[in-house]
Parts: sequence; structure tokens; C-alpha cells
Amino acid sequence: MLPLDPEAVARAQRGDEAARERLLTALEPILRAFFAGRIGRGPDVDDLVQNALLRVHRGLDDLQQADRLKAFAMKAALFELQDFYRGRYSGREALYDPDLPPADPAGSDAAGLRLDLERAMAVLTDHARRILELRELGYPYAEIAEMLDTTEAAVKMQVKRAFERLRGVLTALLLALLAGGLFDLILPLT
Amino acid sequence: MSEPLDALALYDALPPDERAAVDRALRDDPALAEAFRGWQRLRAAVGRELDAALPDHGLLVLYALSDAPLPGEPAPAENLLDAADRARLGAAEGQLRTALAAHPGLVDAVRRLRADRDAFDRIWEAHTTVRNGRTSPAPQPASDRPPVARTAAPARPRRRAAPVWRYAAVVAVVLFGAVLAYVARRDAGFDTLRAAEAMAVELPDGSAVELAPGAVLQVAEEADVREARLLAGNALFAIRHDPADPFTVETPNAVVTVLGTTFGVAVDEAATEVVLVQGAVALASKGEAEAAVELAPGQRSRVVALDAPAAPAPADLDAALGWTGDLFVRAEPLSAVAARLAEAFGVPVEVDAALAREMVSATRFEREAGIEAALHELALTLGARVEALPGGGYRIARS
Repeated sequence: MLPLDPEAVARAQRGDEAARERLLTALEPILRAFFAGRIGRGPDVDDLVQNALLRVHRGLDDLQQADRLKAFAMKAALFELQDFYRGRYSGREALYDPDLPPADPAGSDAAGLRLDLERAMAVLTDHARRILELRELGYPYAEIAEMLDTTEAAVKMQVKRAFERLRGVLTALLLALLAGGLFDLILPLT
Repeated sequence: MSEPLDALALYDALPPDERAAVDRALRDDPALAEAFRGWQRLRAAVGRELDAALPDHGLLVLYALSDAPLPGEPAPAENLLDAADRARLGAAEGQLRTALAAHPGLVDAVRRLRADRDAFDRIWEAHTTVRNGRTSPAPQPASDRPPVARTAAPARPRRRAAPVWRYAAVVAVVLFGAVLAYVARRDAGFDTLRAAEAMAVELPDGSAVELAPGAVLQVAEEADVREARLLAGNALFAIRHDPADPFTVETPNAVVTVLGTTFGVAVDEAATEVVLVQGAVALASKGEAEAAVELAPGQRSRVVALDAPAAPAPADLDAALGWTGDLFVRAEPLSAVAARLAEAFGVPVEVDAALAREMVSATRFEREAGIEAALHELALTLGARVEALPGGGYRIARS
């Protein structure tokens, strides 16, 4: 009987500690191969493997059908990978980096130049928005490039262009304020 | 576009040192800092929109594991969700569909998860097949293995801890087709060849490679770089001898060091197999480089995942290299080789009784060269001659 066979899984669920240990040990190289294939080698793979095994260990008793171990382990691996991306690569962490310079007290907020986010979103092309969404989901740029069947350089160029467009809008707004009364004329972005 | 602006746009992907430099630039340039804050707010707004559309991102995983279709793609054949997850997904179906329709990034994420699902499935099948075939070490007794963590998860897993599991050297070469194809595009100094059909490649140093359909090979652009990389599929290498500069063939999980020889390499998701026709090669796993094995002609070895290579064993060269269309012999008596040539070319081949037991060392007979070339090569090796038979066919006779 192999450690991943349904009968062995059922034994592990019934409290057979040796069967459970064999099962987890047999799962380890599969998970490691999966994570290494996704994110390459490194200490993060050890973390992912260990956490995925913990998910399996904790949830094993709730597995209703012993012959569904593969799907069960797969779900654990995908959830772990998703958490990894959201936690480790999330753009939002960087966006609120405490090391960022403090807001300029004489900056735009104080001057009434608070960017209307809805209008600011209009500077994004559909493609750029798609990239930023994927980035918010935590995917690295290189992986986004694979997902969109393009190059990392092309993906980054889209992001840079979006930033450049936004910066142009901000500059126009500032000029409008300086000119006085032109704010509403410049805001439309299309 | 200037470099500082590029760095601002990609601030979230910068390494710490570059990020610190950007921070300093922002402190010195209020206008730039204001533009950056606007960019930050924009990025944050994109994230908030995603969260508002789909507060539970775990639903993306469940969707990927279900058999629900994605736009323009066939639905998976199997729904991998259990009853509880089906219910959870069903309860959020409307919200999920609305979110996917409004945010193409979410569709891309599900598509990626579907690819991950397929990859996991392939790894599972490959690994369990390997284990069933006993080509991987059998599990150790429970008492010999380190304990598996069984209680609460650590607050944060160790980042650089040594592997907890004894089976740390494991199957790790998966999805390498896509991953290495990406790497290949970036690799300077190498050309990537993808064999849609059988093809022959001449390397800059005069060596030759035959590729089976589906093989992916990287070859160095410079003649003085004695290296090739077989990323996938089957290949037969005929390497020019240069004892001062051994040729190396890398696969995703192994390195073959060549001393001038003819050998075949087969790469799949879980393993690299080498069969040696002539010469000598050393085969090592990328996981255990010190545990290399040397092959003799007619032998084969296999590296599964990052395990050490298997002990050399006799190879069925024809089975391993039959895709070339050529005939391969291991150390066999001349009578047996003649019989195989006769069968392969459909021509009678006789052998003098005095020569019948002469051993022919491992070699390759190219079918395109014809039977006469093969027989003359044999005769030359054995100090014999080739005679044409009156009724057709040939005879290898003592000179």
C-alpha cells in the first residue's frame, strides 16, 4: 500500500500516526516540485511546502472522500501560493511603505488639488489597468508578462506610461490652478 | 522617459537599495513627490476596487478548481471541489461572475490558477508513477524520519532554515518547459531551437545534434563555448573530441560532461535519461553534483528530480534511440549484428563462421548511409572484408 493510496489516507484519518506521517512525507516532494516550478528555488519554497503541509495536516480529518487527496492537496497548494503572493509581493505593502517621505504640508491636499480618483483611473488604458490589477493580486511583473504572453519589459513599459500620463494630468491640474478658474476645463482626461 | 520616473512607476518592485535612493530623490523634489503620491493613490484605488468586487479572493482558487468555464476556453473536464466548497462557490456565484466581467485581471488570475492546477496534476502523476515504478527511493520507516509538524503553525516560517524534511532532495523539475523557455529567451549567447519535426543541428565547434520532434535545444552562439542545453525532448549528440575542453550538456536537472562521444539524452518533466553509444560521459544531478556516474558504451543512467544518478545499467539502445531511425548495437557478437542489419535493410547478410563470435563494440549505423557503409564499417573494425553474394546480399569474410 502506497502512502497516498485511499486506504492509507483513511488510516491516517482514523488516527494511524504512522500512516499520517508517511502521507505527509510522500506529499512533501510533490509540493516542493510544484512550488519550485512556480517560484524557483529558495527559502520561500521551504516555507510554502511547510505551510501547505500544515494545511493538509489540519484539514485531513475533514476530507470526506479519501480518494480525493490529490484535489485536497492541490487546493492547499493553490491557497498557499495565493497567500504567498498576496503577502509577499502585494503592491499595497509597498505603496504604504513607512519609509516613504512624509506628505508635503503645502502639497496638493492642502491646496485643494486632491486628485479625483475616479477621474485619475481614466488615465489607465484597459491594458495598463489589467496589469495593475494583476500586480495588486501580488503577481510579479515577470509572471504577469507570462500571463499576458508578452515580455516583462513590455509590461513595465505599460506601467511607466500610465504613471507618465498621470503625472501629466497632475501637472495640467497644477497649471490650471495657477491660471485660476480653469480647473474644470482641464479635468476631463479623454 | 527618465530613469527616476521609471523607478517611481515601478517603485513596488524595486530592491531595497534602489527604493532608498528613490526615497531620497522624492525628499528633494516636492513636485515629484506629489506625482508619486497621486500614483500611490491610483494604485491603491485599483486594489480597493478589486477588494470591493470580490472581498474573498479565495473564491478565485475555488473557481479554478471547479469546472466552470472561462471566456474563450473549454471548461475543465473535472470539478475538483467537494460539497462544502461547491456550496461556498455557489453562494458567491453572482458576485464572482460580476467581478470577473468587470476586472480582466481576475480572469487572468483564474486562468493562471487553472494552469497551476494542471501543473500540480502533472507533477502528482509523474511522481506517483515514479514511485510505483520503484525508480524513486521507497519511503523510509516512520521511525527513521523526522517528525512532521503537527501542532500550531509557526508565527512565521523560518526564511532560511534548513529543510525540515529528510526528503529535501526531491522532484523539482516541473513546468520547466514554460519556465525555461522564458529563461531561454533572455539568455544571451545562446540560440534556442525548437524542433517541430526531426532536425539535425551542427554546433559551432563541429559537433552535431539530432533532435526528435518536440525537442528544445539551446546552443551557444560562440564556437569556443562547448556547451548546449537540452530543455525538453530527445536528442542524440555526436560530440567532437577535445580532451582539453570537455563538452557539457545541461538539462533542467542534470549535467552531462562529454569526452567526445555519441550519446542520447531524453528529458521529461521528472527526469533526464542518458544512453551512451560511444565514448564516455559523466552524468551528475544538479542537486548532488558530487555524486556523478560515468557511463560506458551501451549503458544508461537516469536522474530523477534532483536525486543522484542511478547506477549505470545496460541500455536498450534501439529502444532509447529508435526515434532517430538508425540502428544501434551494444556489445554484441557479429552474427547478431549481421542479423539485425539484414532485418533492418531487408538484405541477406552472412558471416563467416570464424567471425561469428567476434564481438562488435557499441556503435551506430546510420540508415541513410546504407547497408554497404554499415558492413564496411564492421569489416574494417574486425579486419574482415565484405563480399557481394551472387543472388543478392552480402557476406562478411575473413580477409
